[in-house]
Amino acid sequence: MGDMMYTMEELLPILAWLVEKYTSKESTSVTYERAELLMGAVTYCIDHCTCGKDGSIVASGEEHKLSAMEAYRSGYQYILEQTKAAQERYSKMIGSFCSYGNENYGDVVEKALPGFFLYYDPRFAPREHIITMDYPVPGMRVEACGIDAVAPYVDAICLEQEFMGSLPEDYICRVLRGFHRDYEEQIFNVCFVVLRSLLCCGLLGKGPEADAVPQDYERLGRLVLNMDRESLLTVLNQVLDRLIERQYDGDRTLREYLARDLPDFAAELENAAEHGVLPRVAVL
Amino acid sequence: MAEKGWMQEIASEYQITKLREMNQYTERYGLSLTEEDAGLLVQERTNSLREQRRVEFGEGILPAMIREFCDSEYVTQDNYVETLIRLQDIFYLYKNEMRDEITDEELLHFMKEQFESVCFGDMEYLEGTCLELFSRAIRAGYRGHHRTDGRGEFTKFDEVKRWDRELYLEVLKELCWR
Repeated sequence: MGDMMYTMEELLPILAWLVEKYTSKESTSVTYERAELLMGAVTYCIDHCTCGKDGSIVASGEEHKLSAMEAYRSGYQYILEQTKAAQERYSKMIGSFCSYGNENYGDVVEKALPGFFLYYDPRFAPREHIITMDYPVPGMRVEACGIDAVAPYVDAICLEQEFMGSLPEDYICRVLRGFHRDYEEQIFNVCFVVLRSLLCCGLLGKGPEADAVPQDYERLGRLVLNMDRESLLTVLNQVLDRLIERQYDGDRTLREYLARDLPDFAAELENAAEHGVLPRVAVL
Repeated sequence: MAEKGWMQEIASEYQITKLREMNQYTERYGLSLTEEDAGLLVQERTNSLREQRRVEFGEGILPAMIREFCDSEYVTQDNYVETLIRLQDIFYLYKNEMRDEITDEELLHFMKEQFESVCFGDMEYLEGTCLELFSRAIRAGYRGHHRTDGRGEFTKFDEVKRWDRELYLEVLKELCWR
């Protein structure tokens, strides 16, 4: 039951109360499966209680342990607030959202996410996030559920849009087309394909809008193979830092999000350079 | 999640007390429960819930069931406990069969109505015919019982041509005035 220490005897009355609410007092019994789901709802809310992890809060110098019901109500309120905040961030972003033609990106952000906000049930099914979030976003906790899964996902999409929004749309589409000729139908993270392209241009000291020539990939390959993994990662981080400073006012949050891809990118660059297939990893 | 046994550990004393309190209501119909009877009902409730994989909170369905069936012409002091046990089993079974798409009240009203009329007090018929037909309709999407509170529903699904008043009088006339 998370970090909060409540006995089954303390949780049962909350479950009974929730069952009564769920059935609108029209049924005295529910199936085992329903009771388990509702108990899951109780523990999820308690786990989100914003008090101290041992259930105690300090007020006026005196320590007070919250009852299970108090912890439940506190956690439920927190979940409501988190959901509302995520919806507000989504609403702010969606007006200017661009999928750059990628169907999966568009479907998830424009169709699936609104479905979450419409149907999410923080009272009886807070663990169910309903949607599948097919658009891949790095760094998401696999075990997260409910609003814990969706809120960071929305944040990531917002950051990606912030990043790509300051780049010309036709440049982005050119990079995506260079990555895969049928990029509209593919499932991949659009933002990081664009980021990788920019970082490689940064490594080569070349402007991103300049046309690529075959020698560019040869130079990139030599550059990558002349460094060990750690050095390559350090250089990529430096290029990213310069990009963030110059184009994004040093936005730390955006920088941290984009940096999630760097370890994988460094490994893929190295591998691609060894096998002479750099165009598959980065578009110049 | 802790093992499922904990869901059935509700204070049985509370349940027994609640059942015995119903005697105040049922005594006018010549029905009452002893301490032993109430204990047996509570135990059977636990067994039935376990078998049907359901969990119940509060006073449970028995008090409402007693209120619904105590004026039945087919329930006597001799068969009172046995009838309640059987009705309870049937109730939880059909809450599952109907996928909880029926409230307790609607199901009790339906059961009582059929028990008194079509079934003539026959539990087998109630369980195997009336409720079976009705549950099939509900699983197929029927929701008319919400408007009627579970009353007057069976005629829509009954597969047996039964006597109606005109037919009865006609046959009676034929037999008596031959």
